[in-house]
Amino acid sequence: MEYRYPFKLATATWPPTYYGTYLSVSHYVHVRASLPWKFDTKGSAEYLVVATQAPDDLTPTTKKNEAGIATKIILGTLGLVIGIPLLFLMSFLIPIVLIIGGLYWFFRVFLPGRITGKVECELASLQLKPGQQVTGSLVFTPKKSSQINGIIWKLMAEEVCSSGSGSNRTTHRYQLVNKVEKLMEARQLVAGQRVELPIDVMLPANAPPSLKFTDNELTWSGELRIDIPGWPDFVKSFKLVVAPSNSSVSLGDSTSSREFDDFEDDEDDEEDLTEEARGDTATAVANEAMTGVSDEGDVAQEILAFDEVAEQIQATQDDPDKLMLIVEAVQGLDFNVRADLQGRMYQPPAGVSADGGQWSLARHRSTGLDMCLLWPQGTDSPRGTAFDWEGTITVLGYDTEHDRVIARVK
Amino acid sequence: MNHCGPLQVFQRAAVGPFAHLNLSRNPFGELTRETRGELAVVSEFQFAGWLERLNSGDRFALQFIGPSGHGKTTHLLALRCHLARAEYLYLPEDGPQPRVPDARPLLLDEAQRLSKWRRWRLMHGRGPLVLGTHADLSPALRRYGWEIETVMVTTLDSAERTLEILNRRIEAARAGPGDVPCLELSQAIRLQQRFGGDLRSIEQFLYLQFQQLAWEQATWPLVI
Repeated sequence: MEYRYPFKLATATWPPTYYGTYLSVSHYVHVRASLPWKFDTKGSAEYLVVATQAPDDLTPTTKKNEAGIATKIILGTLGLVIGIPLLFLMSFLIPIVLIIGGLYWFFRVFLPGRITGKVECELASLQLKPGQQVTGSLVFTPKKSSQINGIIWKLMAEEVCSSGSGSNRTTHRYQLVNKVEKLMEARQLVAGQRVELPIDVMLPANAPPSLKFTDNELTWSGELRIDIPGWPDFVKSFKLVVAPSNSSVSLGDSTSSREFDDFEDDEDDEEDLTEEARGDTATAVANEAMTGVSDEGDVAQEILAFDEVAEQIQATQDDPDKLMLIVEAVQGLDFNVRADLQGRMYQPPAGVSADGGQWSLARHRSTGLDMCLLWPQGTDSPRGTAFDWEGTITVLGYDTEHDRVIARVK
Repeated sequence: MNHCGPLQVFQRAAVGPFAHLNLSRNPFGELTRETRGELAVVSEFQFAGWLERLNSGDRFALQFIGPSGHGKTTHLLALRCHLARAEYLYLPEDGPQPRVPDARPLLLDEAQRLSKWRRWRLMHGRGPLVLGTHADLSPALRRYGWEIETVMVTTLDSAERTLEILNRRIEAARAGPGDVPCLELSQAIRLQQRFGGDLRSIEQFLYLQFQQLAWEQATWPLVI
């Protein structure tokens, strides 16, 4: 006899699900049937978590971090007690440190400055969201007339993970993004002529958020370089924090509670979620509902067109004949949609040929309708989950086995 | 005998980059110490003998010697799973050494790093001890009247055992009922020819191979 036990659980709000090369974040529900005088039976299932807001410091609570102030005071005191006498004992090292520091300053600050003069380089914000513009300005007045090879902006994202300890400790690095953009082509700088250059570059729409754990992190950084031929370059680095995308989201659409909604009554979804899990997301949703205004008015008009189709499909899911009529009517038509991409599918939907691109599982944002999206070869397909993805799709068909629309991304 | 059938958490669809392999994660990712101990492959016969001696002998020391990556720590962690009151201590290479606990049996990893003073105290104290070490500590232990059993972990290397270790790691990452990838003896032999008995290097290599399977949507079997 089979027993089924429906359940609902609130998900954690951070960190989001992330599948990387060295770093992966997964959330599971583990279940255990406690059997008296027998081995307990266990089971588990993974669910996806899409975060809507990052913690302020991007540092999840760990024992190390909790130790904070007390540890700092002890270490500071020890540093003073041991450090000062040590400084006297090791005084022969001071000239070496000064020489190394001096050389760094000479090559990285003084020499480039002889050509560029004082360089003011600022970014409007170091906290960004996927698809957002990185804006800022670069201003300098060259001291000398000279040629430059260009001004280059480099955006980098890297997984940095450590495993083992002591002599066995290894740090693994994997570069996710290394995007170079030329902000200014090669040109002649004229002494005394002020150069003002706006920085306006875009983060990838599917940029994974910055993550920080005890031994592992996903870091974002930017680097601005004035490339001077035959001379040390001016270089300024920025540590960036990429937060999860758009916060105007329904929690039910984006979190795992939906993964198990075979058991759920949708009407009482909200009531069963804890306050903690709702967090700021709930506020964002409430605000949007009260004003009834979407940030992107025109886009919303087009989305409504697919919303109607999605609503019709959902309404006829128990009537296969009607459902297929609707699907046939929209087959081959293009729609603008907004969806949460929930990860790659490694098998195409039933009845669809295996070749010809990459498949993603997606959930339509306003109706929660599941979709299988095909990213044809040559398109910029997402590597994992992506929140509030927006694009145009062509409806190909319907997977009746899993109740989901099959569509190709244009 | 378990009277309960398989317990499942029903999902709409398996998720994650390893779902097509029926795996919930990369099987060769970093494990917790507890899981490492649970997944250890040890000879049951030998293991039972060690447990018996550790549970009875107060001045008994069991030492595992061998180079890095051959399973010293894994043996210690496996023993910890079966010794209720045992405490495990890893001695780091740099930084201050942690206090050696009074609990016995004591499982001391990287025991060759013990300072002279701590080693002297340990050998004057009580047992039983389980030591993971790169250097043979038996002469010193014998001088202080300890009964010692030494296990050279390199002698445990065999393609069959390597195969069992690797397949157990894969099985532990199973996502649901059905088939999961399974390495074959010929692949284990090739891995041993390439990496020797260094299981850590084999696992690191397989980690990257499985990552590739995930990102490139490649199917099993793995070409090694």
